[in-house]
Amino acid sequence: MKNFTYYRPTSVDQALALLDTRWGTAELLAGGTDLHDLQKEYVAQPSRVVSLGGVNGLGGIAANDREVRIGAGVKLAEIAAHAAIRKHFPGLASAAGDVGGPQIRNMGTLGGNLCQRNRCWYFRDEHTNCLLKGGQRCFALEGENRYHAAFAQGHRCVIVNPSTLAPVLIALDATVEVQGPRGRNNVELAKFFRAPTGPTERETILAPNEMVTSVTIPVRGLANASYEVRQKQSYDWPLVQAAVSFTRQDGKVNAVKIVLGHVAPTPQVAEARGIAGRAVTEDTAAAAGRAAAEGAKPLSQTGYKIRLIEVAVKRALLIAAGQKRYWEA
Amino acid sequence: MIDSGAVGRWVSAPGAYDIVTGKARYCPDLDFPGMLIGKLLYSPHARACIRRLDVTAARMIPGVIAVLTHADIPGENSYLYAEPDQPLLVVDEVRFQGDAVAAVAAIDEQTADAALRAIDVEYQALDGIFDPLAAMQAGAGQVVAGKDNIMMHKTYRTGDVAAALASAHVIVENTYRTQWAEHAFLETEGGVGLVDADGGVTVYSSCQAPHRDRMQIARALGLPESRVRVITPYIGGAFGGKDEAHVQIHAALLAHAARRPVRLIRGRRESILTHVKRHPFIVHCITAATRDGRLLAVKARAIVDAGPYSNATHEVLNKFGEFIGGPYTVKNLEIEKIAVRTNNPITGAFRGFGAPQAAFVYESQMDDLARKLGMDPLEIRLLNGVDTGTRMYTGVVVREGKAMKASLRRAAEMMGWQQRGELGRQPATHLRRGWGMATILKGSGMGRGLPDHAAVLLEMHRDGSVVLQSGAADMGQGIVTVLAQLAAESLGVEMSSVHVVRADTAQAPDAGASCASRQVMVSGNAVLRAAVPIRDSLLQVAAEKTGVARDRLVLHGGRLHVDGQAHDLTVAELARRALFRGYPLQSEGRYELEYPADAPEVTYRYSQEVFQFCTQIAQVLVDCETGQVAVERLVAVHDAGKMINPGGVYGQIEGGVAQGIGYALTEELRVTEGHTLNASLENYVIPMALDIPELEMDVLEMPEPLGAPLGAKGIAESPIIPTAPAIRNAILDAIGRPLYQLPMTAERVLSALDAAPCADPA
Repeated sequence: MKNFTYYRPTSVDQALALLDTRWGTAELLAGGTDLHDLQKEYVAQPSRVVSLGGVNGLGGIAANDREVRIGAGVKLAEIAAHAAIRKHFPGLASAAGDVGGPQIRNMGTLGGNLCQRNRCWYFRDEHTNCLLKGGQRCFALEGENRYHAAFAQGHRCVIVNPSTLAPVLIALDATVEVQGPRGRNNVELAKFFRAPTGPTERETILAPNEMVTSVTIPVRGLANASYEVRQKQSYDWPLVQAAVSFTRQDGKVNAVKIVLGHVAPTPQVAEARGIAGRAVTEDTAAAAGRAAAEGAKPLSQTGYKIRLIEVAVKRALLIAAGQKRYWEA
Repeated sequence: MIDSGAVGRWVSAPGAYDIVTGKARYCPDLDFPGMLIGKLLYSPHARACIRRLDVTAARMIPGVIAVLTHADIPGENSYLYAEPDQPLLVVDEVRFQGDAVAAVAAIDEQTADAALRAIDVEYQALDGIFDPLAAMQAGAGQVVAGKDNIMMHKTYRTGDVAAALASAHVIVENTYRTQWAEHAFLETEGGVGLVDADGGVTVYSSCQAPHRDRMQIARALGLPESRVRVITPYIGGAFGGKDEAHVQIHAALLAHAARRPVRLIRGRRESILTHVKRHPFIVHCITAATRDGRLLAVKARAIVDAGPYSNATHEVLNKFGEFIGGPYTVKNLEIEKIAVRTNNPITGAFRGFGAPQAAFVYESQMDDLARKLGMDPLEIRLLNGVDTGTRMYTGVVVREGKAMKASLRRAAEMMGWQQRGELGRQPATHLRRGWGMATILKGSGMGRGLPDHAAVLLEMHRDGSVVLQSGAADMGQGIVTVLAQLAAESLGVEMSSVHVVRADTAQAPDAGASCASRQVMVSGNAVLRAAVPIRDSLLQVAAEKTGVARDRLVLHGGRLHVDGQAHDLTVAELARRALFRGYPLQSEGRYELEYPADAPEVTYRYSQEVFQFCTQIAQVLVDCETGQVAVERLVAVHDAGKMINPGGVYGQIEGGVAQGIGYALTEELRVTEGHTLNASLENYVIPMALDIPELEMDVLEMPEPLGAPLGAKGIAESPIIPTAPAIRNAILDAIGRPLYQLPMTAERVLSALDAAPCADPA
């Protein structure tokens, strides 16, 4: 790990003042579950580390009957356990409760989950000078890419966005509050992510001197769920994640939103077809799953993700609709 | 010999409390005044020429005490215990990602890191040789200049395979592929080097073979072995991955150069990139049988990717060949064994030593054969299984083999094999349930013709407390517990009265490596022998004091017993009196596993002749939509010969099966052009508690004549061996599709299903 100067500001403005207009020289430290790993591998080499641990106003979950506001510094474990979140947004509670293991959830924060760097093994190898580190090529495009994008079309860098909270929050129409030198700004979470193509871009639209301070989710009585296909039951990342939300009336669903995680460089909003105006059954959910996977353009080793998208969407819809979980024997 | 008391009871391991409360000290916990931190520099290229290597700038950094290159090694710059062909520090060519280029010692971690980054190396990247099949072709170029890429090519034949194949009613012929697998021990490799006042060196080593480490450290330092001392602190797992020396030699070199203590611990990523992996095999196998399912012949050709250096490749491939026929009566067998050098990761010892790969092949073949013949997997195994007295294809006669069929029958009973379909083969539309078994044998001990002995020193003090010096490394497998139990039992004291000193070459005689499931046999028997003269002294005193004949006296639980009745005299009192009289209370015990010479038919070189038999049966649930395989139940029935510490035996089974489930379903190093991409536990997917079912275990005790009087066989390796083929056969049963490649990931199961969609249950 390269030596750095550690700052512990007490306000958002102080923290912002310590950031730079370029990426890489200063990094925000929330739970540290990602940043310190990157530093140990010399992939991140900031000269300033700005701790958010002492910053006022980043904690707390405020819930009323119109919206739930979650501070960027709220731990994943708190989100998973919060009564109002479990009641209104069970999909978010389950996504937060499935991250890593208890130690990760007790340290990792909402803001960190949204702003963490991607998990590409080429990106995370100090000696591989990939596109995101100023190199000329994306090594995953032609190389080992089983954990990479299945919707790879048009992308020069084929990472997947690692956040498992983002797809659910997008499905729930959440907005994110961003603060920077020009003040505060609310952004739809659906427009918060981007596909980076070089060292001057990251996985979000944040400028190097901006930060996330909170996320607000409207309470609209949407049914919602998140389903992850993973290799093991704990301490694992999804291979594919599907988050869904919809309204329900007379047994029929409408305003169906489907957001896929771990299939593209950004959370992928999929077209919801074959289900609107109908009841959620295994058949209609399967049709929606197939529709969601349409248009995927997998890499050499991610073809299997298409099947997993179909399944994840189907299962997420069934969970949200309170149907029997047929896959549990 | 053994009646009751400490042996055969569930006991708490000495030190268990310290381990679980964090008090036990492992290499990374050791600290000495003035201690430095050591680190190694590796090449970013899998293969490269070193054009320039300049450490001047690194040496100038304040706080950097030693920087070593190959030129600074006082002794031999090569190591490995069998054929020392791996450089400690590279001279001019890097041949794999784990070849160390330089070593540094500095006052702290950051300074050592800075020193590594200040070393100026000009590499000229070279085209590596990464495909073992291509490396075998003429004109492939040499991985190691002057050495053939084919490191080993041997064929072993018995019987007449061609004639047997010609007469066979049914033949199954398949090609199997296995992966590079990682030990993933909790504690990464480490060593702490200290320089003694007289110029000798002491090394704390996280290892499996302290006396052999001593030999290798002495060779590198150019010192006589008498000036090198190796001590094992607590060790956090090894599984074969610490059988070969690793950084303890570099720690010694740095300490010797710096004249200060040096602690060198590998990081997790560094550990995965540098130490040996389980060999990846490509095996083509033909198995032939008669119409009624009797095996006629096995013919196999195995190619392994060895990486650039020899490590234990010869030995692992040899063991693979020795077990490729399985625990079956096969009269005609041919095994061609080929090891190929590449610039891929080095490969070597890993729990089972070639036997897991062999079992994946032969047990998959058995189920394919059974399906072709329409036979029950249990029946075909019982029909062909070896028994006591069976002459194996290696020429070895099985001395004690009742557990082969007994474990099959017991496991089938525990699983409810005959009623297995009743639970439902299709519990839901997209789920398929299946059952699969595997039965195996695994040799214990080094094998005929190799030295296989151990010695211990035992001493009772005047207060009746006992100290036992053993050179057997305890990496967590529990040999210290077993030896303490045996000493306590033999001397008639409580186990708490026995202190086993963790292996220290300055005090303990050589016990050989803790490998090949051998220590309980050799060191265990050595303790029994060491106890004899001490017990004699105590009983002699007791007889003199009580006037009762020796044959009516027994020592038990720290007290003398006369005709089975507790007497007032304690063992401590007897010890005090024995010392007063000058009777010896100190003894060396030595045991060698001796293979009777009257077996001229044993044709397989270094064949093992003590066999651990076992059967595992898996019940799996396959999700046909995702390809995910859940192991719902797993029955494991193992033969331990004689159980000394049942808790240890069951613990080994649990751990081995967990490791076996990972090997079967998820664990695989992804290596591209010599670089391991998933060198972390994030993407090298080892199963965790939630991924392992509650295991259903039973242990059979069939005392081993060759390991008499103790009769224990060792249990460390067999538990991992049948797990992967049992799961493979259960998947086959569930979805009707055979898999021939490990691990059987969800992706591979899905693609097997794509070839033919989820079949309706039979």
